[in-house]
Amino acid sequence: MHPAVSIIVFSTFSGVGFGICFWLGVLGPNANVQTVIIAGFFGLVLAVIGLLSSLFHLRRPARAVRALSQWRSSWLSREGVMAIVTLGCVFLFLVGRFFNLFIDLVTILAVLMSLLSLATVYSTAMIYTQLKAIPAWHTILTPLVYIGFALLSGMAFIFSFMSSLLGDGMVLVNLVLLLGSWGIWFLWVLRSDRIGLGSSNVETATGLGKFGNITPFEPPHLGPNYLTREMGYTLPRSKSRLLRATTLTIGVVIPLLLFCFIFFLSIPWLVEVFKFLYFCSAFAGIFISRWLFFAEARHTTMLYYRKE
Amino acid sequence: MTSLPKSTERKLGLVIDLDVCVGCHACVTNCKAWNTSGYGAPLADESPYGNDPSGVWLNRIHSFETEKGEMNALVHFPKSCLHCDDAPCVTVCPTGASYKRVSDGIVLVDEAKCMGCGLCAWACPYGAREMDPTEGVMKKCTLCVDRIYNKNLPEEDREPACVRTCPTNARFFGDLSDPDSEVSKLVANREAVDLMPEQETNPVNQYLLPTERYGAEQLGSPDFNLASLATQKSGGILSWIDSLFNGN
Repeated sequence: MHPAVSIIVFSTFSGVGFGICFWLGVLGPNANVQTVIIAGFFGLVLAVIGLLSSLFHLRRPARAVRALSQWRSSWLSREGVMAIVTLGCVFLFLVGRFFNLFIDLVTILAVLMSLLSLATVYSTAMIYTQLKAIPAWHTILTPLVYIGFALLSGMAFIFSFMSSLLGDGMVLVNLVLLLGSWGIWFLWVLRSDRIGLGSSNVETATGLGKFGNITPFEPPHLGPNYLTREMGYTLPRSKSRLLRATTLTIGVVIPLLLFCFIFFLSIPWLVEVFKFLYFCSAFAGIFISRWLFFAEARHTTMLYYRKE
Repeated sequence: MTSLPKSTERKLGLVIDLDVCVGCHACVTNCKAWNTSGYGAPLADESPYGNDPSGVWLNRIHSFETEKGEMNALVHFPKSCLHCDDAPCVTVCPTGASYKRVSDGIVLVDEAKCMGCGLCAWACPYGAREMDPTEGVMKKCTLCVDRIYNKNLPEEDREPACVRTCPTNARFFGDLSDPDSEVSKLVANREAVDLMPEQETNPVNQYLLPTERYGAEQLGSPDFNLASLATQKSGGILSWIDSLFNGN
């Protein structure tokens, strides 16, 4: 599939934004007000940047508000509705903490915003998971990867910039998230390599299986069209290997090394620099992996156009 | 609502005879001609001529080579929307632009509601939907909904443009839910297939497989002498003149 920047920014930025909101719901009710407000502000801003970026994928963005109407059947619609409800809930929570209003409600709002943040990221993932025509995406592992990366990047952000929110145990949580979410990603990659186009092949696509092996002979026209541009993106295997290695290096190896430095260094300003780099590296790794999520995905339509 | 109807009153669709199609692209051309001036926005032709031609088409003809034994055969393969009973393109639509009609089962796009996100094109396993680059809305086969019910047209023209124009009668249009319709009889009498049944879309359109001559068992057998078909059987003066030119 064509890796559109607007969609990659949408899913990674809204992922980190709602990830921060999730952790704020867990850590925020009793923490220092100032830090909570700043973290909440960044959570909201990052999520909104992601949501706005998705508008750039639309050919008719002025009609985007219609997308909220079909929540009964469409995951894309559900994602929009959930995102708006979640943002509203986070906003109320922040207002409550800042002005010390509805104190009894704040705890409930915190639980609610954590759950809603998870539900929003789940809906984002389901937009892709529901597509049977792209077998690599059509698995429960896809929402797990999305949720894992949202929790990881949200936690990395808080760890890097607002570590006062975290107790000692959260160091362990960070490590578990880092290894856990990339572990799920690894399983996802293994599955996607094995599944290919699933049980679809050119024989089932044409129904001509009884005539032996079928090969596409002539395409309908010599140039590309919307379908080949949108669904025919291919990444050479050598490039794919290199990019996967890069993703793992930037997303796991470098963050782990930085983690060690942060704990064994005693120069405060250097620790801050490494914490900053920790978040940047973890997020960049997720960003590249999301690019690969699209670039490596294969669509059954291409069975009609070329030997898959 | 972009939920699918539980059932439709009729199932209008196409039956395409792969035995007969010669890949002339007449249906493709007539489809484009009708639909660029009919229902909805015109079909874009961003770049009709030159080195890198590009445009939107609702019907495209592919061709495939079959391989069985030593013989190969070429099958021309027209492909347009299959108007699936369980159309995945409809349920993914967030705006309510995509829908399947209860009255006749046609899958349509309400172009006034479409925001051009392209998710329906991703959801379709067959590649039956194309984004219009100038209008920014999704285009697809309408089964010529503006022809088949059009009282201003003579009765013989009230069928999809592709069917009307096919010079070899490879395309048929009708109600596949009615067992007595011409299309249902064709499906019953010939070997008809769903495309990609494993995708569980339950397509309405049916493809009639080529008859066994494409299997080429006969032609492939060592006993069969292809040259015998070309042997002259005639005699007389014309045959004598012919032999002068052929040198035998």
